[in-house]
Amino acid sequence: MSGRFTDRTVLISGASRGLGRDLAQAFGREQAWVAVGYRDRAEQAEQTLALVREAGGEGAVLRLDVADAASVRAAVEQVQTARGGVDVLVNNAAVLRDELFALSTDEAFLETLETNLTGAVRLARAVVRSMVAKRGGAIINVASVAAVRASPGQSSYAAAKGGLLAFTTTLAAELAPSGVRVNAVVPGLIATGMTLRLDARLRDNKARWIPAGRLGTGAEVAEAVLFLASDAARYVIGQALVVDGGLSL
Amino acid sequence: MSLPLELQTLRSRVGLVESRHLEVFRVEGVRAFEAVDAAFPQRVFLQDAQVTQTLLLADDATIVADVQVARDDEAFFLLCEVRPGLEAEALVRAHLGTDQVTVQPLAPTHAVWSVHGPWAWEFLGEAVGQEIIGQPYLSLQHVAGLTCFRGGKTGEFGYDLLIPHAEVEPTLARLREAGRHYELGPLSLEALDRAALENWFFSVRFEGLWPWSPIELQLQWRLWHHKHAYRGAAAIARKQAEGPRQRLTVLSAEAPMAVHAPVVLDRERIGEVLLSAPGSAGRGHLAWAMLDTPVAVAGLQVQVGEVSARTVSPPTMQNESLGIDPNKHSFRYGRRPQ
Amino acid sequence: MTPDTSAYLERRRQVLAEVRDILITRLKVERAPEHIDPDAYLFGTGLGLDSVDAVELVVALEQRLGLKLPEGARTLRSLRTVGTVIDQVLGVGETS
Repeated sequence: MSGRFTDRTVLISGASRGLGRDLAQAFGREQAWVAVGYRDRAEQAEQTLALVREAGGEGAVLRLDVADAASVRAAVEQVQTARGGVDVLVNNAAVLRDELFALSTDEAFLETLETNLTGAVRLARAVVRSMVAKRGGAIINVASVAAVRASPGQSSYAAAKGGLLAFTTTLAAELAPSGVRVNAVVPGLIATGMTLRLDARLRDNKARWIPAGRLGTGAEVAEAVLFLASDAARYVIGQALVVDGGLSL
Repeated sequence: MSLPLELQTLRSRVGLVESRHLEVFRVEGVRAFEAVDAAFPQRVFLQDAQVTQTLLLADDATIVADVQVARDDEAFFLLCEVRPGLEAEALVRAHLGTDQVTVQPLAPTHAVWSVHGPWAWEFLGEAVGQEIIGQPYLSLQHVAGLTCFRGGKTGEFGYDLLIPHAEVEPTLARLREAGRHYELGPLSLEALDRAALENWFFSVRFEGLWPWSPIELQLQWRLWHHKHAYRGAAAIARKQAEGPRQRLTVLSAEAPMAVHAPVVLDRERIGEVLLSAPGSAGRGHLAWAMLDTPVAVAGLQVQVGEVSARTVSPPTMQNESLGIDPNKHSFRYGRRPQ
Repeated sequence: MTPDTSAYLERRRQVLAEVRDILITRLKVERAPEHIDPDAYLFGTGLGLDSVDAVELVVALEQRLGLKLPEGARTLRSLRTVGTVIDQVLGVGETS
């Protein structure tokens, strides 16, 4: 049996838990070789890798702090040495800081931007030359419904994710002639790590507005990511695929 | 385990204690709300899963129980700490005063284990379920076969787990397993009460406070002034109309202050010490004193027996929990607040 | 009682009245002023204010009492009870 990504090299940041883990597992089912990026949670990253293997894929865990340029360089080099390049990059690592704007600081804002926006840019830059050289590759940026629908208390997160969408379209146009496709997926409220850690009252309040009547699953977001990364989406360039049960409508 | 070590656990890591002092009752029936509303001096018109902190009073408005009322769909949990020597079930039934609801003591079927400390949320997130991390203060949720109440009276993150007897051993096994990563330590009731004292939380076990009412003890926030029918309401109304003659005030000093020692301001006796303890983290000494209302304020230099002291605004300690953001910090992964 | 003590007590009474008024008129705490205890906790427990109230409180303290509070949620750590707010206004207090 062969999958859509048999022996392709997929690098996912923030894959030790939550949505990143679900994405890794989904690529595993398609027999990809997955680099499971993690910042602190080595043990959990190993668990993700075990799930990837169980699903039929292969891979390795990869220490990768996207807020740290040296860490990004070292990690990408490691994958390129082992695998000769990266076919699919999924920029998934993100942090969330809930705070009211009037009481917020530059420091917290910049910290969110550093991981959620600059981190994705940095990682894309680190892989892009090898993709251009091979005349192929896909970059999927994981944005958020917070970028398109107001989410009070999350201005820094929303600004970073909104920036990531703008970055996606521009980079897509720039790289399309070289055969590299860039797209974004826009998850809504997904029943996974980050959403679970939200204040339960705020989460339940928002969940009431989802036309589909429930939170999404990581696997449902993964379906969209697999599509955007696959050859089936070869003519899909610079798009943001919203997977939110209708929340943003 | 010594008290200082337990306090260190509670203030900087996570501690676990079986909360036998916390007796839980479930009130059910079509008139559950009316019965609970009549018994307690606090507003109990709660959203589902919301918890409120209140008291049970004697006719003279002294405090006989420290109670958290939690709404669970159309029923209520009562988490009661009663004054030593009193019997919780009899007290609860007497105050509810109706046979139109069922009052079920949960001690025969459940145990309560509590987790306190700045990293309690992360520890329970790992041991019980990630949902714990997003659980708001003063709320309950049913998770992994148990009921988790978030509250606590220590100034740190605090959770009370109501666990069916059959689930106690497996739950404790999970807690101990995850606890290896959090330097989980045991806590005693004594440590919880000391933490309450340090953090300006009332404990029904503080004997020095027994003669006083919520008015002098600065617990008016646990009452709702539109209620007039609960036991003790007449005494409360009278005291509120008169205004408190004395008010509980916190003192800080370099030396220990003896219980019952007089407090003197500008050579006038203004009150006496009710409770006394070493300050948090071994710094100085604390006392709770009942002072005459006009001078029951922070910022005064006073004498307590031979000791120079100062009235202060509680709480005097900055809890580590205040600086923690569950989205950012982690004990297990070494990301602690600066 | 010395004149200094009397003057301090009077000043403290005035600020307490102001803070109670802010809590009732700006933050909609549904209590009579004298039912707001001087050392009641403001957030979560006690008066049960939330983070949206925190913004209102900080703004009102700056406007009405001339307090200059640093930016960032850290500022809330010095505003734990009615009494710690008064301490800030009067420049007294000892939080470790």
